[in-house]
Amino acid sequence: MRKAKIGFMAFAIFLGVGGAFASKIKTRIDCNADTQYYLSGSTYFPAGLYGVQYYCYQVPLICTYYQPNPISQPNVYNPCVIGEYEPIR
Amino acid sequence: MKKQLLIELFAALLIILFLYTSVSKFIDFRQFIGAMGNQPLPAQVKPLLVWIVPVSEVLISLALLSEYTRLAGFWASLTLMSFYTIYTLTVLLHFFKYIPCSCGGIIKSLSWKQHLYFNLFFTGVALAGIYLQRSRKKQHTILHLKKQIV
Repeated sequence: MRKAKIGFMAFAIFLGVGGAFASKIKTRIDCNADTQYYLSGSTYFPAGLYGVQYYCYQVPLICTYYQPNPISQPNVYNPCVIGEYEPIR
Repeated sequence: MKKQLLIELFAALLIILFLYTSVSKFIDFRQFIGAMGNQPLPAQVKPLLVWIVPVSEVLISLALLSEYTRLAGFWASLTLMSFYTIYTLTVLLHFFKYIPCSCGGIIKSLSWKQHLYFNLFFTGVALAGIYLQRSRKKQHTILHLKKQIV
């Protein structure tokens, strides 16, 4: 019984810590890991670091965009983060 | 036996949650500092909270691991989850103009409403843990007294 308890808790620790690293890898795969751009007029500008240089207010707009293929399609930008772009001064 | 199994399960659920969120914060610490920096809280407490929040999550996980400190761990979990729930409620009730999520890992992709349900669920888990752990302690004391009488 004691061994089973220890095994159960070890599994919980493994899931917690392992899950954190696994989700870190996953977020690297999605668009958030790419350089984020904001649209001003008809030009895209690098947004910088989220939480440090800009924020996305929770409104149903496109906050930032990313380039799915920056080499083969340098002028293509796809929506990534929902919200309203707001620079931090 | 069944009660003990439930206690272990609730403790494990909270350990997974707190270890996941704290480790996620430490892995992406720069992002976490940025998110915390823009919370509508007094500027003096923010540098402290950047450390207090993830470290307390690790400490609660450690407390939940041992049978001797588990009840304290459940109480600490309830306190922390209640803070998070109240905070989520204030966001949903539009107390602030905007609130960036400073939670860890994939949890930040939840909407604020989903966040509220998520927090309520784990608050319930902590409450159930306290109830079961206390009733188990009572049972043990009664058994111990009975043995002494016999």
